[in-house]
Amino acid sequence: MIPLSWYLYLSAALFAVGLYGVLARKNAIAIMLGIGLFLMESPTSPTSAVGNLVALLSGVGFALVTIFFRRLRALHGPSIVCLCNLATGFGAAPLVHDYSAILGLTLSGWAALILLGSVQIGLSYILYAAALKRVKPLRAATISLIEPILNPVLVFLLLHEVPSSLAILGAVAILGAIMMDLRLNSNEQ
Amino acid sequence: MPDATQVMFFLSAALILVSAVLVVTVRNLVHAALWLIATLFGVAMLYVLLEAGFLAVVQVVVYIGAIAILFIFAVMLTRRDLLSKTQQTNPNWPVALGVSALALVGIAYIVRGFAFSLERTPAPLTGDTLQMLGEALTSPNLFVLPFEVASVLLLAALIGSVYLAWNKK
Amino acid sequence: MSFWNFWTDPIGIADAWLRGLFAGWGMPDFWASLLVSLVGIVVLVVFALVLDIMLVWVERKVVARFQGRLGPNRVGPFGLFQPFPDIVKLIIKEDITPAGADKVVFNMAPVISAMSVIILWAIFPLAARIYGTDLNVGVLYLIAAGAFGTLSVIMAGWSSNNKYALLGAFRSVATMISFEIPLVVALMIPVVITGSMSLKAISEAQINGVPFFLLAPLAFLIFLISAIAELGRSPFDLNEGESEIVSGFHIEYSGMKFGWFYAGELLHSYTVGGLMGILFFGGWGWFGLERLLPWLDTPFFGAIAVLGKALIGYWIIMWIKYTVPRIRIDHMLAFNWKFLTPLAFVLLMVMAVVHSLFKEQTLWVYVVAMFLSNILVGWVTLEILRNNARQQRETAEAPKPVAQH
Repeated sequence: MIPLSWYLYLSAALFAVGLYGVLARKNAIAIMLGIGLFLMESPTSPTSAVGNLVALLSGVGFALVTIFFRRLRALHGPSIVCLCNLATGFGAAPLVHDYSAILGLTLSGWAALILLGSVQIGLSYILYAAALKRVKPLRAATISLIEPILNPVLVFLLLHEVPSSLAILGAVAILGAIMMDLRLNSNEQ
Repeated sequence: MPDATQVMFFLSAALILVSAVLVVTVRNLVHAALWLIATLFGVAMLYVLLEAGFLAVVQVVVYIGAIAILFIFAVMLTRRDLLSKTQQTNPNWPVALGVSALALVGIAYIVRGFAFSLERTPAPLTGDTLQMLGEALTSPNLFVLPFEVASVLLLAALIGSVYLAWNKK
Repeated sequence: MSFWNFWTDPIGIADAWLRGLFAGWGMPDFWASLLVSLVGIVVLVVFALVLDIMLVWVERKVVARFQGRLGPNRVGPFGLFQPFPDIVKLIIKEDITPAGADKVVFNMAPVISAMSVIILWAIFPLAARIYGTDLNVGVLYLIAAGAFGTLSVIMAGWSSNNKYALLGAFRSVATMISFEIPLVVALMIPVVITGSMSLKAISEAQINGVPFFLLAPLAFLIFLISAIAELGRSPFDLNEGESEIVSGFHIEYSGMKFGWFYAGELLHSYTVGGLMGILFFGGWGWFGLERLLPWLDTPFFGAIAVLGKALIGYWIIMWIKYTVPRIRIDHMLAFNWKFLTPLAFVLLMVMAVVHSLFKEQTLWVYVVAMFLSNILVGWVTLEILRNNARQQRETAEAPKPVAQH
């Protein structure tokens, strides 16, 4: 019998080799060969299908957002952001089951809602659109990968919950990759 | 004395790891693509060991028969001049080696932490796995929706590639 | 062990006898079964290769007759021993590797090309009891073996360090992967009718029912055309023709390496003929005769049936090769993508619908319904083609504007 842990060790080794291939090779096709090695790892934990579906759609949506902000960079960023968010709001409005919950919010509830809307969504999209005027979309998407790293950092600072070792490992990997990408390709403008 | 399946596992794992290391170190990119084909074949052997015969054959058809051939075409149609003469690793390779070693040690350590609950290998499925796969992919209670969405995604990729290659006159 | 037992189940009896022999010598069970499997593999491969040698004779005689001449008739009766001097000639030739060629890849390409054909014999059922193994994904395994063939073409073309070889290899691979799509879809039609991808199950379904060329003749035609394109045989052999590209991807190969490419192509054609027999013409059955004459139901005559059908399929492929002129590469690919692939998909959908509607009915109603649906699809296709041709003729024959002075 072959224990499951052996397959996981093999996947870890293959992942390490692929990582070396992606980081240490010059030619883009050689880097993609490394990514091909990444894809060889067989996932062993079952996940929910619907969750994956939603993640997939949101990924595609975000990529479209990035690309279109870049193409529309001649226009005024903040107004595009407002228009798009209003459109999303109108589009999502029929899906809300129960409007009474919103109307029954207290003042602090309204304050939190406005804060979330304007700062977390509005301000961040405006800054993203402004950045996309200067930076190419692929670079912007790569840099925005820092965001999931900062989540555990924020949680650590506010709630004193230490992130797991795997999360720290992932954060190191992503930061290292981004810094290496910036250092190696900074001759492009 | 390891039994037959363990011997096959070691052979496949050796093939996979040796070929993978060669993929990322050889200078000639066509050779790297051919070593990738050896790696993919090793993974197909692993699928056979896991009693997933359909996945093994699909791995050969899709990965070796299409994706690896695509890699080879991409290598052959671009950068022919640089193929075997220049050094293929960039100057940061010690850092890359360090990061990969760190990743390997980290993941192995985490896997070892879980090892006590993983020694029990799941029992193999009984019955015709191909039929079960077919029913899982098309039954409304199971995975037909992700299956159809995946085909829509492929259609989007196809349209995207046609658009990118369109000769705008 | 009586003769009748061996006659009805040769592989099983041989397997048991060998195992008994090895156990009597004191071998542990694991090694005994491994050794028996190895012996089986060697026997199968030797059989396939000996068949390959005789196919060289068949090919040369048939092409000669098509061209109005006699073919080899000096070496042995009717030239039967001709392949042996051919092989000796190929072996004693100088083993040339072109300068600047990639030696390892250059030498591996013919090996992988031959390998992609011989591994097909593992799932080729010669009779109800004679087969290598019964994979439940047999049909998909055929496509996987074709993937190795494609790989060998690209390895050969690239490593030859020759522009014509590379160009021929690119075009060959483009043709092969393009025609894989109608091939797979045409293969799916017997799979849908049988409900299983195993070649043994498909043969048994035809023997217990009706051969599939009555149920899906259009699928057979699409399979034939796509398989000929996959093989790289005429009329799709632009990439290998001597007047076109001087042998394409195997320009630089001489001697036995070329022999492997050539023999591999012949064996592949024969194996594809055999697959046509198994998938569409009833496998190891004698079209219902074996129910009347029970001595036809034994493995020996089943194997004769399969090999005979393979030979007839091979003859049809050769017939097309030596009659029809070559097709240009862009016409080939346009034919595939604009005609064969849509036709194959439409046919698969129509067949699946008709099969699920009619499979509960009596046999004759089912057969007639499937056959008529094929005829309908073919007719509609011909009408569309005729319409297209008429439009093209009208635009070509429209009076051209004459320059006014």
